[in-house]
Amino acid sequence: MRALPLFRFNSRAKSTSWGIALCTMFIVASFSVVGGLRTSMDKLSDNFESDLYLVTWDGFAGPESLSSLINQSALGAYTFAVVEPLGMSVTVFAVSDPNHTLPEVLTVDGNNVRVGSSLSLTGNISLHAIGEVDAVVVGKYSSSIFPSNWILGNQSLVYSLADRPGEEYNFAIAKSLSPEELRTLEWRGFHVQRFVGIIQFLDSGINEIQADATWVLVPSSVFVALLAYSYIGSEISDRRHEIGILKTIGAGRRKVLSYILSGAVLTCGWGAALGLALGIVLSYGLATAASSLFTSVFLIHMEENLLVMSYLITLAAGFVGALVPALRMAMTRPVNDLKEASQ
Amino acid sequence: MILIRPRVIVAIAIAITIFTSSVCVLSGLRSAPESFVPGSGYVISSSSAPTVFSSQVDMDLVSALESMDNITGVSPEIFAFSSFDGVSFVVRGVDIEKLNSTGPEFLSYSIGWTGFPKGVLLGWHLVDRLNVAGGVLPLVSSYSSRIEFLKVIGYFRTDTPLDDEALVSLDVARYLSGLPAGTVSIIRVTTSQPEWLSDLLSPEHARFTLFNLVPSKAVAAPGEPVDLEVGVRDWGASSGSVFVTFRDGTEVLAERSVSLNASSSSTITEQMEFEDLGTHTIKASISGDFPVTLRVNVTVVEPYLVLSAPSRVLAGDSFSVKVTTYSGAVVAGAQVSFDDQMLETDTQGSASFSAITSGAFTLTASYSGFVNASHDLTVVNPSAYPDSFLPVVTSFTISPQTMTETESATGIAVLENQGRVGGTFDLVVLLDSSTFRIISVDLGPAESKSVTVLLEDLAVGTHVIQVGSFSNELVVQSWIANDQDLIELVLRYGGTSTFSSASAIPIYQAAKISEGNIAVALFAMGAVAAVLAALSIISVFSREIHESKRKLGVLKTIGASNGNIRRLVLPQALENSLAGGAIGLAFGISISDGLSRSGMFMLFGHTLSFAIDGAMLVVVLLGAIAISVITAVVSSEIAVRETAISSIRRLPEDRGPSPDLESILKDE
Repeated sequence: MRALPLFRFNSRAKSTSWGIALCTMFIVASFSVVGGLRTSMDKLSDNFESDLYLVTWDGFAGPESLSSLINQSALGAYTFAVVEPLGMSVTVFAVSDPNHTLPEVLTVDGNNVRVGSSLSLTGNISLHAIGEVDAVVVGKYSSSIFPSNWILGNQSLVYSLADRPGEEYNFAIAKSLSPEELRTLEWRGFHVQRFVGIIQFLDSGINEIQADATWVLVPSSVFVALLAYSYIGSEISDRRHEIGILKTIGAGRRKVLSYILSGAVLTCGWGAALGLALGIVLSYGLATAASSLFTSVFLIHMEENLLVMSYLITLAAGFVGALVPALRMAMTRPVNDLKEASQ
Repeated sequence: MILIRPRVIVAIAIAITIFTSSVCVLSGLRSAPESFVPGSGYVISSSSAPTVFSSQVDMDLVSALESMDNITGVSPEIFAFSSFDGVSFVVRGVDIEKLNSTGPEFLSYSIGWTGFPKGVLLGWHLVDRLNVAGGVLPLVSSYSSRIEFLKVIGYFRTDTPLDDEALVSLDVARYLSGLPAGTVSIIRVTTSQPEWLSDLLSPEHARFTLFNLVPSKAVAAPGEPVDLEVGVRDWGASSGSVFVTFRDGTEVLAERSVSLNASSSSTITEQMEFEDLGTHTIKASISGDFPVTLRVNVTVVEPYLVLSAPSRVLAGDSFSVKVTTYSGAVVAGAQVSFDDQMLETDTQGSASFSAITSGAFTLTASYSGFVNASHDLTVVNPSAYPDSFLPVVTSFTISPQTMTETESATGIAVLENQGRVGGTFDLVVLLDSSTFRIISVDLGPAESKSVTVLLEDLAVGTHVIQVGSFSNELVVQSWIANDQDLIELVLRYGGTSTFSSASAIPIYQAAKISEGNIAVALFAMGAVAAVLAALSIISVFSREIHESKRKLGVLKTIGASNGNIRRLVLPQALENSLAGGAIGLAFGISISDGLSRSGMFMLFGHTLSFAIDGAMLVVVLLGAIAISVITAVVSSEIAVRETAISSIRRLPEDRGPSPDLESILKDE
């Protein structure tokens, strides 16, 4: 497709390009702000490093279902129980940690249990859940991961309480999962939560803002389409005579359509390129102004793929906007074009 | 003559619709902080915390606030932040009863609060977003490697941003957030006088208070220097200076000017001497809109000796005495006489005597420059006492019986061993029927001793102190009794907390972006949206005028002036743009409302609400009108610029060279 030489880069084309440039600038600036937020949040997240993950799944599962976890995790089982006759609700748990994933060793034998530091239980206690177990408190456990109001037992004790046949787990603490392993686990239906919740919270929050920001595309695209519609409409009105001649000497509808649309795309392309440049300048200007006006630092970050996307969306919107007058022009009869233009 | 066809209304309506919805979405982002303050309350957060996420407020402030008349509801809350299956949400620790005092009102919930301390209640929006299987929600700690499994015990609906959150007990949230005991993230309050509370907790100007007025000596001799120390604190948001006045009764002893920066403290010391014997009540005070007066007693006495000795000893035993000055300094070389013995105290102020014969005696001590001291002593026959250890409390007095909360009182219990076997006795001091102190006292045969109990750090109120079979009342007053709740609140928390309305909660600083940055960015985006809408409308008008240029050319040819053209085009443009603007406004508001209800827009775990209040409506309305009027005026100017010749001949203004038709034909 080549541009219709009937269309010159006149003042109308220039003003349309500037309008389209403003729209693109709007998109770029919005994405830049979000990119800046992402960068800032990432820096904040760096303060809360942890390579542990809490992996959970629905109900209990045996080792055969957990093959992807066994080699790099501590597997655990927990159940909610009541300490009788005190009527105290507690969580009873057991962990199997052959890979030394946990920072501390948490084991206890037989029907002995260890209680968290905030529980003041001693001696013989009776634990009631689905099953009932009489246990002996032999001391306290200390853990940086598990709450201090839980009770540590061995796996058999937890299975008895939960009425499970044995060798089943309902949570795991995994270490140093690669992104690929994370995706695989999530794909298999595991719930994976990275330790230090603020990281995922902020990450998820930025994703939300990013999703919100994509709505900027809607008004910008509509405005670009309107500008392209008006521009092509006016241009066609001016060049109707020439277009009529083209048709008369044999230019087909597709050819005419391609000439008109290529003119629109060229104008939009120029405007979009200008908009990208303006958007980058505006973003940095905004960041500098804001940082000097206020005490904080406002980082701007632009991703290349978002810039490309902004450019392509502007072109697409311009194309769609120009389509209506272009189609109308392509469909008219040459004789009508010449007649109309000569009036 | 119709130059602008009504069909442009469609394009204008689309542009204004998009402008309106854009502004509403931007305002939703701006009001995102309100998500953290559901209901109509205000928020107290730590003034030193950059964001509400890291705020830590003393839990005791809750009880201080609850005791005040103007406060209608107080809810301490702790934020923890978690996510599950990629869904981020706020875990809010609450005290359910206190939450009810501030709102929001629970419109419905699925089950009761049973088991709340170990469970989690999910807002009904969050229920839609989370797929919690088995009724258990695994949570990881906000800032450290901790986990917790909580039973989902119910669901609630408030029609506020709280519906996007998970409610847990304060203890669970404190564990997940890692906040220290006795602190909470924020305190939400409802008050009938928000300005009053704001001024009290975080005054904009400098505001001072005094604390810890302490004399270097409680008892002094005439002319002896006494240092008075008092702390001064500026708990306002600005620096300033204040005069601290020291008075003895009505007589001004000294006045000091103190300059302090915001939220800083200083201690000033003033030295003074007293000539008149007796008790002097010294006041340190500051005046202004929040006057504070502290009092302390200094007793001026003739310098005297104090002779410490047992009041009863067994015949044949020896005993020690100790001589000190009125201020407690030991006196070496003092003359002490007992019976026919006369001894001089050693460097420790002590001397040892032998009790030889039974009877009543008076010990006397003398030292140059001091009033003599005397002490009654009974020497008893051991055979008159049973052969056992029989300790008995024979008296208990408290002095003073009324004190302020920063002062201390002294209780003196007299213990007597009514047997001739010595031993150790645990003297139990009860405060309001609870054990306050246990003091071990060694008592020799038939010995009696005075035991001193320091009564300090007592809460305001009337207390009963009980020792043995004796009990006494001790009244503890707030050290400024005129408005004790107010003073307690201000002295402990004034300036440490920020009192905010819902929309002023700092959250964006989490990304090191101030609220101002966000406001500027959002305003800029709104302005660009308005410009784009105007440009689009102008381009549509421009096309309409372009298509009517032949008519314009005819008008100009027959003599129409530029003014005539303006008068013809402007009303048509205005009419169409206002009509399109009105339609667009209505559509825009409807679309915004729909988007708001759809819950598609999220921020930090909360659904963004595009509340279109009166102010927002005015902004959008004015924006739409401004765009309509500006575009109409610009359109009329475009019409005026059309030249008569080009309009009639339909020649483009800068047509340039003729089209290269041959080259196009080659393409065919």
